[in-house]
Amino acid sequence: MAQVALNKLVKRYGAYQALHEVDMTVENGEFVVLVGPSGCGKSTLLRTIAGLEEISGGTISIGGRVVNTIRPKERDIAMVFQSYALYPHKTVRKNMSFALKLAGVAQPEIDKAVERAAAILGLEPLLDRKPKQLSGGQRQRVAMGRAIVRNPQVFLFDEPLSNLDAKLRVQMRAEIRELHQRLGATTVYVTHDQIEAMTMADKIVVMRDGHIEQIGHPLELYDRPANRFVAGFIGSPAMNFIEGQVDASGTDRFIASDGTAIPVSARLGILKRSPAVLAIRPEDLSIVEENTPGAFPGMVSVVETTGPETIVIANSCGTRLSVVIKERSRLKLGEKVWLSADVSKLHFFEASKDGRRLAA
Amino acid sequence: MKDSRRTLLISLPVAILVIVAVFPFLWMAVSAFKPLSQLYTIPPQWLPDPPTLANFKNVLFESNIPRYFVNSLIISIGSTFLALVFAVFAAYGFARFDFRGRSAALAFVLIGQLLPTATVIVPLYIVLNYLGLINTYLGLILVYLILTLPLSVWMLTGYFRGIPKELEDAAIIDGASQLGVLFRISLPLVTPGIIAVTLYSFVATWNEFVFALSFATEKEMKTLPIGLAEFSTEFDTDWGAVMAASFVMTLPIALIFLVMQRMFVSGLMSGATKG
Amino acid sequence: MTLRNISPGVWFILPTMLLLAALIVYPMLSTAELSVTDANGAFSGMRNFNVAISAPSTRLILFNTAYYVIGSVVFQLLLGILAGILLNQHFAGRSLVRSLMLIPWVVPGIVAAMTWAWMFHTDYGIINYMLMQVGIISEPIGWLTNPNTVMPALIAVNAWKMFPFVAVMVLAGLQSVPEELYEAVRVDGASFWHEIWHIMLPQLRPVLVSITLLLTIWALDGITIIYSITGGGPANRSMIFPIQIYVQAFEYFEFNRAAALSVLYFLFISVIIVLYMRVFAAQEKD
Repeated sequence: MAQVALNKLVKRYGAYQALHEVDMTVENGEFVVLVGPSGCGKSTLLRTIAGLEEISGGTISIGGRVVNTIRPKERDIAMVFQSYALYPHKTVRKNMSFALKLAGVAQPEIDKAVERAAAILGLEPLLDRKPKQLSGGQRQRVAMGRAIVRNPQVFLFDEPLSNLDAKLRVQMRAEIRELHQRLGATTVYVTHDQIEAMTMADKIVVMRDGHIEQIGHPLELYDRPANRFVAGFIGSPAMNFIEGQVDASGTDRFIASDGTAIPVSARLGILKRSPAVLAIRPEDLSIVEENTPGAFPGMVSVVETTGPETIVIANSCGTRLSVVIKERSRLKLGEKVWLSADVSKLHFFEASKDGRRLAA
Repeated sequence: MKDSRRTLLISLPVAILVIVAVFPFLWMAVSAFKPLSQLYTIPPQWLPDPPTLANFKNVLFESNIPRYFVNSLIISIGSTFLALVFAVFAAYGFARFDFRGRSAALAFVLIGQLLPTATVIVPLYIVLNYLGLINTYLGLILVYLILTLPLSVWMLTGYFRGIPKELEDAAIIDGASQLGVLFRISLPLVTPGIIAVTLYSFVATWNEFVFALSFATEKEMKTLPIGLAEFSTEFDTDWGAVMAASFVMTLPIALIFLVMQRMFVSGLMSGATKG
Repeated sequence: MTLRNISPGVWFILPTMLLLAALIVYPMLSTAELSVTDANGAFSGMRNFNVAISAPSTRLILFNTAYYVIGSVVFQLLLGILAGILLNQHFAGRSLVRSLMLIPWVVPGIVAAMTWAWMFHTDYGIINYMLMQVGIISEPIGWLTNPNTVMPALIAVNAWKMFPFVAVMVLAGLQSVPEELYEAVRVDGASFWHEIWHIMLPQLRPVLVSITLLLTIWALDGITIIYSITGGGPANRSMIFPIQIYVQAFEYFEFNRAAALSVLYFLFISVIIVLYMRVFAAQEKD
């Protein structure tokens, strides 16, 4: 098993720069998820690690060895693709043994390796079928089987679950995690789905426009997003942002752009009078009685019920705030409500474009 | 009421269409089986009575047509195969790689496909003559590459493009070389394309007239289309024999068409739309 | 630039490009050279062009070529569009009719030429017989020997040969029209003719533009049918440009004059090829 280290990695396509001096380390046996909106460079990053894309600058090392110009087959990696990329004209068995065959491994050993991988993934009954005869989930498993047959140092996954339906996706999520725990291989996993990232990762890397925005443990990202982008990207429904400024003249309050006052912690005096963005997760807002201290008004515009919880969207503070409540709601559209924010769960970001996190 | 009017409105033109399309072909077949006395009658006789194989005997045993048939077969197969070998590599290069001059090269292939034969016929004759390739199989096989190669490249490029890139990435990760990817993964997957290209090239060369007329002038080297044209340019045209020879020449094409009509049509279409 | 920096794609296409260069570029350059030299290889300026252009038959040949090309393309389009629209309707035996319609296209050109020559035969041809039976003509017409009928007859053969191609392309174009579009105009109360005029033809426009250019190029290249049926006769009345090139080169052995004609021919053709490639590139982009 091995560590993967990227040092000032740059990738250009002509004048367009897809990756900007990316630094990142995946520790031995770690499960790292690269996440970000489409076009953020996460797939490009994965493909440079695989050796499918040449890099324009910096270094990539796998297991302490710089692999910049080394061909994919000598990097000791395996990759699972979004479309699974199973060879349609080969049986499952042939698909899984192709790499070993190319590497010149003796047939009895190939058979053994394929049987072993098939046993791990429950593919034994499917070995002599062609990909066309398999369901989506089965294909997904074969693609993973093809990867583990080679017993590589590093596994790379490129949005492997995005072609599956929602239910199967949840199931495969658990299976991939289980497989990782069993094999303990270093894994880099690309997805655009932040829930996948949150549930699977030891460490999440959030990317945007070819830059890394934040690296950290899932809950670290959730609880202390480094900037407004990460804050908005991680979590569903998305975090609420309220523009305004801290008014520390007398009371400790945040004055939203429409004049609504929200009580904040006294320690925020340092931020006073400069424009800022207050952010709060929907579950940290609650709907309260009219006379509750610190409550501020809003008007219900949407009520969505998911079953276990209710999402209320209210016009307030010059924006639309999502509120997640556990109980069933009898709120009507247009009804006036009073909202209260958990003072200990507030986040503050710069009002600038970068929107960096402000100390609090 | 409205339905029967619609039926009539459609079935009448359909009937006319079918007659227009099929009649000349049928008339050729019918004429091929007529004895001399029934070919030249006024009014014409619709069906041979009784049908005779005399014209076919004439064509197959007393003319050069069998020799021409073999010549055509050798040249068509040779040129089709040669074009395929070159085209597989070129089409793969065009479909999978981006490099400077790629679109210019593709445009050149397209021009090659559209270029009328008459524009290059004079210098080709001089070159072939210089190389001693006039009246040889090799000469015509090479010249026919002008017909078959650009077309094969175009059609196969389309088929190769249809193969997902991820499949080839997977093969590279699995340790295949660039050529390994082509031969182990991509080529088996474009089998339908290979078949379509083969058919189209074969038909194009089988039917070719102008090059054959100019570069294969000796009796031993002529191809079927030229042999057929000869029958009628002679003073006294034996129409029964011409129709029988036409029948013989159409037979391989008709067989190909019958066996794989769908592939044939889609091949012709992609060949046509892409140039 | 070192060899390593060259994209593998270049190596893949190189053999084919070299072969095509030898088969097409070299002959074209050689044609250009031949066109400005005499039989001994000495430079002769524009003389070959002047001789070729001022020949008394040139005007007739140009007229014939235009006649043949325009006539062929118009009737190929007309027949093909009608057939394509017809075959897009629902009726019993449609797939059989679709296959049968392809026969003219599949039959080798030389076979089509011979068969039609036999059908056009003055004395024993089935066409004269049928026309006389229904009373359109009162005595046999020498279709291929009469200077006034030879071109229409040859155009008919060419139209017959190529209309299935148009029909197939039209059919493919119509099948890509979403069914909802037809349903929408029917809901709006449109008649069948409205459907043709407002839905089908506009949808087919891009296809029709590119096949018109293709048909033009092919008609300009139309040696097989004419040469094998009439050889350009009677009295040059069916002589077209490419046949003249062949005749100059291989019957009169005037290679330099033939080369000059080839150059002119190529210049004209290349205009259409360029047009076609622009249309093609624009359609690829969509």
